[in-house]
Amino acid sequence: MEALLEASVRLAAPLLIAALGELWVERSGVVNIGIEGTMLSGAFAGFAAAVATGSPAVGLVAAAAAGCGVGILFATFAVVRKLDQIVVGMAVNLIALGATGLGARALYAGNPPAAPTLAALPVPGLAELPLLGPALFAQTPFVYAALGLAVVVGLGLSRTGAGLRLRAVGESARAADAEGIAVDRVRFRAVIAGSALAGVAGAVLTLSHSDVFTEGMTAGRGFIALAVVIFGRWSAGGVVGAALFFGAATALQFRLQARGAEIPYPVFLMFPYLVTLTVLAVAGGRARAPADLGRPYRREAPAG
Amino acid sequence: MPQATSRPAAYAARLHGVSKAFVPRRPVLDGVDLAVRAGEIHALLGENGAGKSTLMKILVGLLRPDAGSISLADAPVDLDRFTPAEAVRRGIGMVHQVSALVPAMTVVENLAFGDARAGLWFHPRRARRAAERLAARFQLEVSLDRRVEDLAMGERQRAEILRALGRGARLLILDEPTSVLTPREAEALFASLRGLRDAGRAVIFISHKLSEVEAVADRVTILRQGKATASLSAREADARELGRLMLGRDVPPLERPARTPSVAAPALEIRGLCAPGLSEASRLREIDLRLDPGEILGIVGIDGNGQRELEEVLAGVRRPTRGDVCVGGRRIAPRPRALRAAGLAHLSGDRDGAGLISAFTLAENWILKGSHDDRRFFRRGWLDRAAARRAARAAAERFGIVPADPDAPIASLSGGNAQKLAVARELDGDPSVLVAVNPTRGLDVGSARFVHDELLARRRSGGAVLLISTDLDEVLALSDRITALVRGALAAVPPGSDRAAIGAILLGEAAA
Ligand SMILES: Nc1ncnc2c1ncn2[C@@H]1O[C@H](COP(=O)(O)OP(=O)(O)OP(=O)(O)O)[C@@H](O)[C@H]1O
Ligand SMILES: [Mg+2]
Repeated sequence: MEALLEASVRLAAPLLIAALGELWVERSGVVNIGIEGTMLSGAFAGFAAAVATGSPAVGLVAAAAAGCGVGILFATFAVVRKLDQIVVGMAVNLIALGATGLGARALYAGNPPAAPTLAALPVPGLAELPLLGPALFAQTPFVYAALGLAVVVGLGLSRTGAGLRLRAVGESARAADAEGIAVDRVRFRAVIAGSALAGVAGAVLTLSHSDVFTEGMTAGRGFIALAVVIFGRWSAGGVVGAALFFGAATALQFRLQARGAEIPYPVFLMFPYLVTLTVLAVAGGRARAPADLGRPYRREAPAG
Repeated sequence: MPQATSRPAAYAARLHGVSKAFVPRRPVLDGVDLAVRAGEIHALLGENGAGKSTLMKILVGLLRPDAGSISLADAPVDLDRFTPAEAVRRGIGMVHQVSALVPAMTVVENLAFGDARAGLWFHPRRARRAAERLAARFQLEVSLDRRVEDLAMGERQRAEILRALGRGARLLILDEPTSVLTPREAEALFASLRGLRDAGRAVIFISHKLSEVEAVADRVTILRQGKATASLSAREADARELGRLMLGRDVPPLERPARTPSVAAPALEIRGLCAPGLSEASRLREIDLRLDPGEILGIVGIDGNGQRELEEVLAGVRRPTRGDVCVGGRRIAPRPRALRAAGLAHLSGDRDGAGLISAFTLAENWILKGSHDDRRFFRRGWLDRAAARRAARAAAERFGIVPADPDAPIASLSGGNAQKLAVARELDGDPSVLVAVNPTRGLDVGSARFVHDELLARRRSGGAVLLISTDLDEVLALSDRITALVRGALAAVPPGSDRAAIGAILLGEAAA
């Protein structure tokens, strides 16, 4: 049980980091499905930098920087040039897939070394607590950072002027503009911040969960992070819950597969989504997407 | 408020030769001059579509003019760099005709999010206290903790006015702020505006209620077909004269011929209707009413007393907990299609929400209300676009909608023109009962007159009209009978009651 909890939290961490970034982006009215490719870029950049320098910390910085770079690419087309966000996001994903694959082959010729990883950092005393000790207090810094980040994003949205303006932009770009808020600037910055986090989330895969980079290794985790934001109903608390839930489902699936259960593995892949849908349908409530999500803002276009 | 400047600006804003065309060679504004002095309330008048809102959007940086120059507080504006943020910095505040509040946020949050004085943190409780103080200072009552989308129109408008007043703008622009305010609220607003004026600030006031303009404005500029055709002191003209200057013709007073009592079954009968409300005050309590063919029944009330709930029940989108709705003597399940099929049409009071789809064209909106098997526009499920466009064009021409272009999106229409389309659509098909909610909100005097004539024509040909309106004058002018909606229940209005008497009933001050 302890091991299962520990694995759940560990596996949830990259999802949580990416989803919190995406949450910030979406609350500003931009949907960045390029998050998958951004994570992949972070995974690669983090890996490459850590291998080159021998320092996982440098890898981390490189991953965030790579995320920023991809974010700037996305925001330039989707926010500044106001192209369709889904189209740009898809393009970013494909470009990132190709570019990281190319980079990996060029650098390692199919024979990548192992990266130095970030070690677990148990909190003395607390880590030995029964049940929750290993899950919450014997993890890598990524996990602590992810949980801290949830608090920062939650408070940032509800208790800071920037968060309030961000929410206004996401709900009604026109109303925000009329009040003198620079809509595109808010969105551009949100995308950069969210993408940096996606880059870091990608680095978790190469600097903590494993020590290698393989082509396309994010394997849909970016899309799951998108789902986490939706199932978390665009709130920081909800995102934490949803990410932990997906983490637990993944851990459970690994465990059952390892035991050689007779159930075919796609059932386990479906399992978290089915449960979440059921939970949402039963829970109901009024949470919904920001009203201007996915809609580029053009000042001179007719209102509406 | 003491100003630090040594020499106060003479003009709060001067616009010179401002032109704007959305479509090449069809200028909406054509070399407009406007001079607003510091310390004056300046009314801007004009027909629907004259370009008032467009001019104001240019003044706050939301639109860029094709030509012309602007100076604010005697300092020229670099129009290439002029943005709403810059306008806010220069001390301009505006209440927009189309709400610029964020619907999903509470009133407190809406008051706070654009406040430049706010620091790094947002303190909900501190923001709430500030909002409370503001509401008290300007005597505008708003439920601060509710989301804007849950508020009645009047309350939204109050929230928006409050926000603009609270910014302490040097130039305050009000684009039809009073369209759903009660007379008393409007009076309080005017007192605030006079206070601002006396403190040396400037106000631009846009309204189609000429009596208000007469009461509050110092100067008046009239916009006609994209040009400023007159600028005069408000003392020089009364409401009637202003109407003439605006339209280029006289609007004769309305005539309502006497009605011959009907012997037929009531067109609409509501018995013991109860329905949940958006707030406690607007829950419908035991509504009983009867509307005969050829009759206009006016329901007056302050917005937020159940108007929206009653409207929604009759539109079939709010489920009553109890009570019956009968149309033409038959009990009808209050569902949208059943009500329509029974001959009940509904002119929404929320034009931009439930009324029209602003991204759709005139033609698309025209066929939208119809059933999916309307033979005129659908053949075996296929849409006959040409027929829809023809019908929309004909209606637009008959109602004087500008542009009468079936392919123009509603969003590109002026507020008044959009309203005219909504009216035209609901009157089409000769409904036996028309539920009309604030039917002339935002219409200029000429267009309002046109809609009133249409409603009376409906009455003459035996149609029944349930007129739910916050405009007391409108209800008094049109209705055969009047009843009041107060805290979700109907209150009798004795025949022959005047404005003052009705006002007292609305505020629950009538002697029991
Ligand atoms: N974004 C836009 N695109 C195209 N046409 C527009 C746009 N905005 C306004 N117009 C047109 O410009 C004209 C003036 O509109 P405007 O909203 O300024 O009128 P208004 O004087 O405020 O009228 P109202 O009293 O009805 O509010 C109208 O004919 C309208 O159709
Ligand atoms: Mg207007």
